[in-house]
Amino acid sequence: MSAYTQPILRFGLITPVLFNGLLLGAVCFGLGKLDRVRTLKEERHTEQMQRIAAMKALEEKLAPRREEFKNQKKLLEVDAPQLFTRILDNLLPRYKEIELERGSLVFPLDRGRIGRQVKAEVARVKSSFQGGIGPMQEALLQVEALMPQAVLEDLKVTRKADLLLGRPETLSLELTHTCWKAGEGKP
Amino acid sequence: MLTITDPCELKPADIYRQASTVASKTSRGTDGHWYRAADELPCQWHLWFDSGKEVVSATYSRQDNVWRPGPPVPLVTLTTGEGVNSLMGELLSTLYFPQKPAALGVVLHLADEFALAEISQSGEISAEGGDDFQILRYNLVDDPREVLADREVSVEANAWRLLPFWGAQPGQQRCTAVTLSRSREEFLQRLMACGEAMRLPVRVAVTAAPVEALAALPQLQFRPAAGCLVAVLYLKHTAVFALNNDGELRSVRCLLHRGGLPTPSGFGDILWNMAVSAELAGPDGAAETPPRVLLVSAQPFVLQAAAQDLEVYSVSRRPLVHELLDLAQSPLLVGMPGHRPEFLIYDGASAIERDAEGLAGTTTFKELRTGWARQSFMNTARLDAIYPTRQDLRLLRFSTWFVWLLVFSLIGTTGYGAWSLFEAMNHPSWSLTPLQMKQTQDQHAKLLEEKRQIEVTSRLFQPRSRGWVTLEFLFQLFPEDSGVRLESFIYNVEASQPPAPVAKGARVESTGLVRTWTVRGLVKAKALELLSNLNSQRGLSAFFARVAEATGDASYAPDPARILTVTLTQGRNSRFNSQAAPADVAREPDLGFPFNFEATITQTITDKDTLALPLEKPF
Repeated sequence: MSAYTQPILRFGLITPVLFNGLLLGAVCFGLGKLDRVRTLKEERHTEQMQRIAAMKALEEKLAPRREEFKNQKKLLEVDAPQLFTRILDNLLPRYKEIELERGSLVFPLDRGRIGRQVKAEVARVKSSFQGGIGPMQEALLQVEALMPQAVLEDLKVTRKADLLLGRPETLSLELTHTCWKAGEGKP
Repeated sequence: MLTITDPCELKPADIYRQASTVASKTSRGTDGHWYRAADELPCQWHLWFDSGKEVVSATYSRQDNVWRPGPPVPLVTLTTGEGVNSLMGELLSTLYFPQKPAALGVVLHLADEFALAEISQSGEISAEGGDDFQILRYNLVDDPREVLADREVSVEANAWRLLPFWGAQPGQQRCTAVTLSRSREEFLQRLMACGEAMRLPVRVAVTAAPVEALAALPQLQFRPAAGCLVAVLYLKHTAVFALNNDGELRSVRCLLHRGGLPTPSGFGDILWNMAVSAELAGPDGAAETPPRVLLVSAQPFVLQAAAQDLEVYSVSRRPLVHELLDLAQSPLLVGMPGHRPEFLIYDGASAIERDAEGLAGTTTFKELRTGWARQSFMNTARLDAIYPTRQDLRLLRFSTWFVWLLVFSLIGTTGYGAWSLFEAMNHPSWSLTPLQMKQTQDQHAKLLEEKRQIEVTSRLFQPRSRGWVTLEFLFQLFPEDSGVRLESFIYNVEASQPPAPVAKGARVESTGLVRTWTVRGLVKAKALELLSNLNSQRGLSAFFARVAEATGDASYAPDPARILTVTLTQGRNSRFNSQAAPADVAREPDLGFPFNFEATITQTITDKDTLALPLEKPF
């Protein structure tokens, strides 16, 4: 080992190697950090793109249904008993008493056999009529066409003859409708 | 001009800087010729000088073993070193070598002086060990004052090299130190500096011409029958070597020529005394044959003068037999510039091998050939020591490469990083902010909620139970004039208990329905088949299908998942009177029906059905 060996090792090899090694380490650390950030950002971007694509597909599906939904929402927001009453009020004068006559119209507060199992808000309408099945069917067709939110919960048809008044035998119809309505959290 | 400082005087950083300078500005790091002796290089320049008017200059190419006359060297150049550059320029042309030299070995054979110095007693004693000449040799080079008997010598002015007497007997002087002046080193150092500036390895050596001439004797076909004295006559002195009867060197003396004479004064007496001392003759001429003397010179007149001198001495004093070796006439030296035998030992070794059993077979001449005769009086090792060694320069080169490799790795990695950053920054993902993501998430959640609302609302609005369809059901069940009198009809719908979640955390979204139709009435015989059809699964399903088709109500459409059951009870009408008059039947219709019945139809719609009730609120 000559007088040059140690200085060459010290200044020519060890010091530059340490210096370069430190720089290389720092660069590698930075690269690793960049890679992690990049991966994270790309994952987020992919997620964003997938979400946008999903939104686009969803939008395509929902757009044609919005108009109908809008109407349905309006129906849910109206006061079903009131509407039911108004429809009947408009409808029944077309029939003679013998054809169809309204008996009672009450609005039970309980949720009924349908409403008790679901969370949706309901309004029930209990009505009774006397008359023929034909007019009754016609009236119901009109009511239910105007109130698609109404679900027939029960229907009872019985014969009734008022011998004292000498009136012919008629049918007694008792109906209960459950109407869906918007809850307090309506949009 | 490269200035090299002794590394012992420098700081480590300066040493490293100096090594880098040497590596970059010289070819020492790449050319192995820098680390070889002058006589080992393929192209050699031999200079022979005896203080005469001319310097013998010869070039030797080891590759083709050819000697050529070298460029003429003025005496002033040899003394002051002037004109070295032009000499180097000449030497590097193809005039003196078959091809341009890649390195040059310069050997200066000094014949202008030949002094001998006595080795101290301790040195002599150590040399008596036999194989310790090498140690003594290196000690003499490193620290002459420790080895020489005279400790007051000037190491700056002179240089000493050991010459062993291989023929000395125990108790006799075993070696001597040949002394040469260092006055010619300036010239050689200039040559070296010039070579260094030209990145051309120039290796130099200064040798003692008389010792080389002695070593060349076997190649000159000199075959003494017994011991003899070899007198090599130069311009200013005569070197006399005493070889004993075995041909081994016994002693040496240097005889100066005084008064411009070609031979030393008292030449015969001196030779006689040396012969006696070397036991080649008795003190009174007792030996059977007179001592033999070989006179060697390239100048015929010098030989003639020396021969006459010895002839006169033999006649007048004691008998001395002499032989003449005229170098100018030697066939081996005919083509040799200056006819110098000193150059011969640098020539090919073939002549020695042929004569290996004669004089060349003696220890003296073997040892002289192996290096003792070619000892350089210029301590180039000390000069080389201030330069980095070849290993140092290799280490430096390796470290440089390694550091460059690291730097390139660093640059490459940094470049890759910069490119990655550039690429990443140009990717749309880079500009995507958390706020944008949040906004999109919110919009997506809003859409999903809207979808849920639409789906739940849409499902709520599905026609799963309508009054007019139920009455149509009744019409379809018992058409006009079917022979059935309806007494009562009860229809009801009930939501089923929601099923338990299949798995933990799973949500139940809908529940099933159970619809029940209960019909009670009277029936004539012709309508029994109608009831009978109703009382079978096929008939019931067909009936439901007919209702679905007639009303367009999907809730009546048969489906494997929808379970239909019927319970039919028939019995005889107790009020039936087959004899009743039509007026009685018109007043009391039940008199005309022989049977009564009660049918209960149940439809179970499961929670998997499209008509199942959604459990969640729409909003």
